[in-house]
Amino acid sequence: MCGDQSEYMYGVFVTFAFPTPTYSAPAPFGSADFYNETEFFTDDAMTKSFAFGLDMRYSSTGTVFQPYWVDYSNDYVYHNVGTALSAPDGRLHTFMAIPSCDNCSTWDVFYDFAKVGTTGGQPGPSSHHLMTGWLLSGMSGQMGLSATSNRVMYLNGNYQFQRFGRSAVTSRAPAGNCSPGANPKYCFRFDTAITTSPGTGENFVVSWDVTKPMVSPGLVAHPAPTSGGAGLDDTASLEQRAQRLVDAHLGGKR
Amino acid sequence: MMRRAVTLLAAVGALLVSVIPATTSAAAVTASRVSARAVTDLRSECAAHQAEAGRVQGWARSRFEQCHHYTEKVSLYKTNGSYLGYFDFELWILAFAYDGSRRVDYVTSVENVHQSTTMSDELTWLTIRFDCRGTDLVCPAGLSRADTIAGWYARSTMDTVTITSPDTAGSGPYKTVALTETVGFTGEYRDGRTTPFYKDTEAINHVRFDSADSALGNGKYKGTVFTDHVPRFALARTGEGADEEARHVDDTLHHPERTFPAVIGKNAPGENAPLHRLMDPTKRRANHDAAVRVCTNVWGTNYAAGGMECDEYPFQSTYEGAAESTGNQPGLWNGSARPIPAADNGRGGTLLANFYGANRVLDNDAFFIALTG
Repeated sequence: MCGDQSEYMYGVFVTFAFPTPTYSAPAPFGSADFYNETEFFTDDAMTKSFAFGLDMRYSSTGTVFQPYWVDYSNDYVYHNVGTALSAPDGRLHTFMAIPSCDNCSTWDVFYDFAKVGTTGGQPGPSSHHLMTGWLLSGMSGQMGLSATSNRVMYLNGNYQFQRFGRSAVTSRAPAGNCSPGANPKYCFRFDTAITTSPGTGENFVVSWDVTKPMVSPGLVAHPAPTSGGAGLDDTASLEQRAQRLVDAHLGGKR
Repeated sequence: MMRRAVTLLAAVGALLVSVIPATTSAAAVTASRVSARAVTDLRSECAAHQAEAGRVQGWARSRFEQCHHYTEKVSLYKTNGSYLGYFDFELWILAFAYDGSRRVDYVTSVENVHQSTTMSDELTWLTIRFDCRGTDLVCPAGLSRADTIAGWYARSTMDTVTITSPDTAGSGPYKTVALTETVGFTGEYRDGRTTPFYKDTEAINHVRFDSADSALGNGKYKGTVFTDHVPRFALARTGEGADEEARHVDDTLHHPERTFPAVIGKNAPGENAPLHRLMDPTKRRANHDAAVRVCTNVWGTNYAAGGMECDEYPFQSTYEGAAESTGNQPGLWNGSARPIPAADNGRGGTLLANFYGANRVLDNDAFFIALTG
C-alpha cells in the first residue's frame, strides 16, 4: 500500500504483530525471506528513504524473526533491532520515526517506544510518500503467512499522528492469484481496513491487511499477474513503482 | 551546647543591648516524646531551607515533618506612646506527624533572646500560644507557655504540644479530621505602663488525621499528615521493573508527539501541575475504559495480545485520567495510553500504590511525579 499525502508528512508510525508462518516443504528443503516493511521517502523522486519492519527468514534451522531498520540516505545501512526471535511472540510491535529536531532532515527511529537509531541526513525534512507491505525476496518451497495488519499513520505538521485518507492511498486489489497451480510468489490476499469519521463521513485507512495462503498444486500453471490489468483498483503504475522499489532495495543488498 | 555571646548595637538610638546566650533545643527536648535525633535532623534541614521555613506556613520536608523558624524583634511602647525598648528572639517550631497514629507533636523553642538594657529581665514576658480548635480533637492542657526573658533563657523549650484525634472520629469514608494549628505570641513588659504586643498568626500548620483503613492501599490503616506537603512520586527510569511504565510517563510529559491520542498542544500534568488521587473504583474503571478506547483505536482490538496491557498516564487513579478529565472523551485527553508489558504495568501500579500508602495520599490529594535516573 502506498500513501501519497498532499500534506507534508514529518514522520511515520506503524504497528503490527509477527505472523505465524506455515511451510509446505519441511526443513532442510524450504527457504524463504520475507520483509514486512514500511518505507518513508524523503524526496519526491523516491530515491532516498528510510524503512523499518520485520525480516522473517526461514531456513533449514527454523525461522528467524528479526526486526530491523534501514537507512537509505547516503548508502544502504541495515540495522538489526534487538535480538531475533525463533517464534512469534504474539504481541504487537510498534515502529515510529520522528524528526530528531525541528526542521532537520534526520529522524529518530523507535521500536516499541525505545529509540534504536537515527537516520543519516535525508534530502529534506518532510515527505509526501510512504509505502507499507510485504516484500518477498526469495522462496523455495511454499510458505504461508497468517494475517498481518499494518496499522500505519503519518506525523503531520502539528506533530500529531494521523491516518491516511482513503483517497491518499493506493493499494493492490483484488488479491493475488492463489488458485491451484498459481505462482506462489504472487499469492497474497490484501485488504484495506477503513474507518469512517463520524460526522464528516470521511474515510480513513486504519490498516493494510495481508495474508498469504498456500497455493495448492494444480495441473496448469497460472502465469504471474500482469500490471494494470482488470481487477486493479488503482493505477498500473502502482505495481510498476513497487517493483522498481523492490528491485532497487533487494538488488543483492540483503 | 552554649552559643557564644555577642554584643550588639541597636540600630535605633544606639541603645546598648544586653545579650543572653541561648541554648539549642536539641538537648532540651530529649525528654519529649520526639527523639532528639529526629529534632536535630529536621532542624538542620529546616535551617538549610530558611526562606521557606520563615514563611507563615513554614517548610514541610515530608508529609510527616514540618518546621517553622522565625526571628522576631518586638518593639514595646509605653501607654503614653513613648518608646520603651525591644527584645528579639528566634522561634523554632518543629512539627511531627505519624503514619500509624492520629497524633501530631510540636517541639517549640525560643532561642537567642536579647533585650534592651533599658528593660528588666524580670518584667519582659514572652508568651508562645498554640490553639487547638475544632471537633474530634484531643487537646493538651498546656497549649502555651508564658515566661520572662530570663525564664526562656533558663529553659528554652516548651513542653511538647501533642494533639490527637480518636481513631473512630472524623467524617467521610476515611474518617478525616482537619486541624489548622495556629501559633502566635505576646510580648509584654509587665510594669503596668506598657502596651502589650500581640501577633496572633506567627505560624499556621495544616494537619489531617485519617483512618482510611484498607482503602488507602499499601499503607497503615490510620495516620496523620501535614497537608502543606505535596508529595512527589519518584519513578526510576530503569531498575525498578517498571521501565516501560517510566518510559510511557516520560514520553507523555516530555515527548507528547510519541503518544496517543494525538492532541494539539498536549500538556500532561504531573511535573508542573499536580495530579490528584481518585479513589472511587467506579470512576477509576471509567478512566481505564476510556484509556482502553485509545489503545483499541490505535493498536486495534488485539492490543493486549502477547501479555500486554493498556497503560495510561495520567494514571487511572487520578482525576486527570482519561474519562474524568475529559467528560469521557478520551480523544481530547492531555494524557496517553499505550500497550506495555503486563509485568511493567503491574510493577508500576504497585510502586504507585506504595507511594500512596507511604504518604497517606487520599482522594483528591495532590501529588507530583518525578522521573529519576
